[in-house]
Amino acid sequence: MRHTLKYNGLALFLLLALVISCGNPKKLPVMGPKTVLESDTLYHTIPDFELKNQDGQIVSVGDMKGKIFVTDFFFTTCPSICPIMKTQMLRVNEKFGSVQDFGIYSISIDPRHDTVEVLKEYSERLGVENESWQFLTGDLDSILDLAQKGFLVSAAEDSTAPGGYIHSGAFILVDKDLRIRGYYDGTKESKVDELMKDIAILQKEYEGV
Amino acid sequence: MKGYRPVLFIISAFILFQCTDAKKLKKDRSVSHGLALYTQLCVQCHGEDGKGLGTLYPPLAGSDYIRENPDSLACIIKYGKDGPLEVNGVLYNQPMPGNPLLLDDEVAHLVNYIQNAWGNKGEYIAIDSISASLQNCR
Repeated sequence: MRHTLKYNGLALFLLLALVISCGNPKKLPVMGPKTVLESDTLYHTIPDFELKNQDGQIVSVGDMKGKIFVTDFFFTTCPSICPIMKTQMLRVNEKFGSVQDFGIYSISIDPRHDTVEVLKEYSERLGVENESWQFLTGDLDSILDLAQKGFLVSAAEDSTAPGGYIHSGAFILVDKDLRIRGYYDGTKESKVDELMKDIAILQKEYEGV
Repeated sequence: MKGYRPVLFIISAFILFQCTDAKKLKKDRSVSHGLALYTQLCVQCHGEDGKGLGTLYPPLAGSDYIRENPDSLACIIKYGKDGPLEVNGVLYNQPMPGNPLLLDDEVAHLVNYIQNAWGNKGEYIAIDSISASLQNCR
C-alpha cells in the first residue's frame, strides 16, 4: 500500500512536469548587451548598413527586418572552414529556403576579391537557386564593423591565417525585430540541427502560439 | 598419410594467405593513414563522401581526371592548383591550396586513400613512386 502511494506520487509529479513543459515551449534567449530603462529592456539589434547582393542590388537592414534570418561571414577563396559551413547552410536553405519571411545572408569578409560578379558565380556553382539566400559584399571596413559590433562575432584581416582572414564559423540567428537569438557552430552538423529546431521555435513565437 | 593432407592444405593456404596479406596490409595501412590526413586536410571541400560541393569543388569519387592523371594527383595535393580543371565534363575553377609541408609518405597515403575510397579502385602506390612523381611536378 505504501509503495502504491509512493508510485502514485511519482506519477503525479511526472504528469505535472509534462504539463508544465508542454505549456511553456522553450523560448530562445536574446543575445547581446541590454539596456534596462525604467519600465523597459532595450535589446541589442543589428545596426543599419548598406551592402550589395550577388545581383548588384542594394541590401540594407530594412530588407532583413520582418524576416527570421541566418547570417554567416565567409569568403569565396577560404580554404578552411567556409566550404563546410556552406554545406551546412545548404541544409538550412533546403529546409527553410521556400518559407515566407525567412532569409539567409552570407556576407563576404574579402570584398576586394568577392565582387558582385564573383558572388554571383559562387552562388550559382553552389547550386543556390532561390531568392532567400543572398550573398553580400561591400566596403571592407563597414563589413568588419558589422561583424564585430552588429553581429558580435570576430572577423579580421590576418596575414598568418589560411586565406588571409580570420573569422567566426558561427551561424547567427536573428529574429524579425533584428535581435540576435542564437549562435551555432556552422561547421558542425549537430549544431546546425539545433539551429533548425530553433528557427521553428522562433517561427512559433511570432505565430503567437 | 591420409591424415596429413588437410594439415598440408592448411599450411599451404596459410602461406599463400600470408603473402597476399603482406601486400594488402601495406595498402590497408597506407589507406588508413590517408583517411586520417584526408579528414584533416581535404574533407572540408571535397566532403566525407568525396563528392565535392556543387560545381565549386570537384568530386574525387568516380573522377575521370584522377583515373587518367594519376601522377598529377600527388602534385596537386602537395602544390595546389590554380585555374580551370575539367572533371567528368564539368569545368571547375576554384583555386586549391597546396600542402607544401606534407612529406612524400603522407602524400602517398593520401593518394592511396583517394584512389581506393568511395568505390574508387586503384593499385597500391609505393612512396618511391610518389617521390618520383613529385620530382616532376610543373
